[in-house]
Amino acid sequence: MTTIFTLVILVSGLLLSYVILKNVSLLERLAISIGLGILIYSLFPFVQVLYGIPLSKESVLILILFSLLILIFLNLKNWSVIIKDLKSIDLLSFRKHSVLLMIAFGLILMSIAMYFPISGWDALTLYDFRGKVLSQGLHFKDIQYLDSFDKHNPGYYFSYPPSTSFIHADYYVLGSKSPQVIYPLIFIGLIIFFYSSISHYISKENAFLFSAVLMVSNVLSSNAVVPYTNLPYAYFYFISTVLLVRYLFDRKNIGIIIMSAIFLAGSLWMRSVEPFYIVNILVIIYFLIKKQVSLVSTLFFVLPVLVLKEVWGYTQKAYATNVFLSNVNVGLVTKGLLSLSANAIKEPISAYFGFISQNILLFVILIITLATYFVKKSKKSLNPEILFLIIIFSDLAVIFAGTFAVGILLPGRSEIYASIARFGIFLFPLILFISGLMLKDLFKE
Amino acid sequence: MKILKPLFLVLYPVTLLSLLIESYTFKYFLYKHFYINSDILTAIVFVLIIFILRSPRDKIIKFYLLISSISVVVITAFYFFLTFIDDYNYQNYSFSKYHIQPDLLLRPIILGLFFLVAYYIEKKIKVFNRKKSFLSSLLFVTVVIFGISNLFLDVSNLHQSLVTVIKTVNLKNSTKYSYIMRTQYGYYYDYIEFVKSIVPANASILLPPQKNPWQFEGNQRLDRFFLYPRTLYSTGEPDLPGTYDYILIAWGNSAFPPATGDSYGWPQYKVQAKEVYIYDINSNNYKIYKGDYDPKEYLKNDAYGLIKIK
Repeated sequence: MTTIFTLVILVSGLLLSYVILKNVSLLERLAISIGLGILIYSLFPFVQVLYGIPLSKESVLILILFSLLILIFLNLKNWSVIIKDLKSIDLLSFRKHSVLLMIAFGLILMSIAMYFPISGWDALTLYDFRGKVLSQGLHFKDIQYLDSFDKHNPGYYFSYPPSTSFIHADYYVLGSKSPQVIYPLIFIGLIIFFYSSISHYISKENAFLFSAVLMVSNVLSSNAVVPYTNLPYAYFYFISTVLLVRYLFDRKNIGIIIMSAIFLAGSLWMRSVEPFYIVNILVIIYFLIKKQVSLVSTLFFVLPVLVLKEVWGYTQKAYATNVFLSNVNVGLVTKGLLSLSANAIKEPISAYFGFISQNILLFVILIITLATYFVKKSKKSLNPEILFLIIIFSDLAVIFAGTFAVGILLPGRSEIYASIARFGIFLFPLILFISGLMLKDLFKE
Repeated sequence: MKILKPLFLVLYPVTLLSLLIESYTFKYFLYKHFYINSDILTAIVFVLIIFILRSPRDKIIKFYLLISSISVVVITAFYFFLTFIDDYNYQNYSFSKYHIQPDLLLRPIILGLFFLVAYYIEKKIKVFNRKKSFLSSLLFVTVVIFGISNLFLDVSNLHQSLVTVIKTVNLKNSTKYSYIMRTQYGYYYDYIEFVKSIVPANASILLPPQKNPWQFEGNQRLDRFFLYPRTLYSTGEPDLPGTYDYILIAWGNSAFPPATGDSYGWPQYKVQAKEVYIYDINSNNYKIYKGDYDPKEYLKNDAYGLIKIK
């Protein structure tokens, strides 16, 4: 059942990609199909439970049947393109041995994920626990009731969106015991998307090298076998950002900006606490002000994020006794600022630089990339390279502000700082991507 | 620029030695005692390598390459030896036995590899040619080194997983599950399974407070994963019902020492009880005693168990 439902997720996502996106490579479609599939099979069950209908084997089977039928119907005109694309698959046409090694690495990660039981602390206390009880037919009200026994962490079960929990629940109701198989698939999707999208800018050889470096990045590969939401967040946010930048400098394919918006909303659906989506929204608003994108494109981009934020915000308000870390308000900030101590400032700053120090090579790459960009002095004032750099440095500024806010609002909760290392993993693909772009001319000089 | 080569010839072995010393002592040992920052030294040597390789190479550089190759092979073999014996024994085994932290050995390995990889890349694709951008060359080599150093960590992680697979592949699914959970959660896993086996699904349990030293036993969310659908209450929370079916007896974890004024062992008050279950975390067995619970009688080192309320 694990294999069958995993294939259903992938096929549904692939079919949806043909509905939204035209003229993109099959590799890119395959990479985004896992994300789209996860959105289909987590959002619909979420709405179902929100309307008071508990999850069951029958409801998941009906969802699968309807999704596939509707997607097949919507793709009636695309059928010849799909078949042509599928026939063109030739994984070993380029760098045969290296591709085989990468496939082997992916398969090893999948085997590890399927062999080992879910044991990560946060998975047991939150993500997988919610999946288990949802698969047993519990309503949000029941989960709210369970929440009420723990006043120490109010609203904990509603502190993060239940995206991966619903995917776990789907697997469980269908009789599978290994929902964690989706995490290595997300990782593989991220690598494939990285390769296919960086190939738009640099040679195949270089794209392959940078993808291999990303694939062996230990922080990402170790997250590929752990059912946390950090890797899914990195996957959704990275894809959204790359597609956004591509659209802003191309503006031919409206499907690209719609897909970017879906993936940005997807990142919010994985982890709603991190506000990095604001950076991407500010970028498109800047282009709107500069009259380089239309209002319609901007609305297409912003709406899915706002809708998802509202729906999840409504659920939190309805069911969470208190929203941990999400309800930052003026009162709390003022209270925090009034009781500000030297230690409250020192702790977040050292946590932030501790995060940089742990990933020192990555940040050395970022600094050299920045220096390389300014030495090259591009003629165009705004180009994809500088936009990526602006996004990355804005994200770093958001991390700094967030860490600082935790220091002010929650003094003494130093254990929260450990999470910077986890949620900061989305910087890995972004930084390697921009460094790859910066080296596009190295072998031509 | 002529100064760069002799500077490299001096700094390279000094840096290598510094990193090896810190593998045996601790990170930033040299900074603490002599104000020598090994990270800054390494960064300087990285930059010097790029400059050295942009000029024609001579015999002494080739001699340094040979030394680097030997050091990389030897230290890498030693690194994997240490990580493997850690996997087969327990975490930090190599540190407690030989006072060497395997992770710190990655730094001298990366230093040597940077030199070798930079040399190889230069030989193959002339990336450090004077006509090419110095920064681009540096960026390229740093990315390659980033990849290689991560590959080391991957191999180490994969080996750790492989050891667990070898040890559990012939076990039944339930035994395999217990083995892996025990590896991660230690005594707590067996203890919570014991609680689950005694307490009926519709009963309620009072847990220790959610603070040190009960970060495992007192963590309501973690306990609930194993004990659901049993109703769980945490000591110290407002609106407690006053009556429960069971109370956990938990000594607490020494990894989370109690705050000043607190001590190990819970509950520290007398309880009118039907039965007291005393669980031995070493043998995984338990004994049942009739009558009330008195902490003076039951709360000894590593005391775990359950109180069934009257």
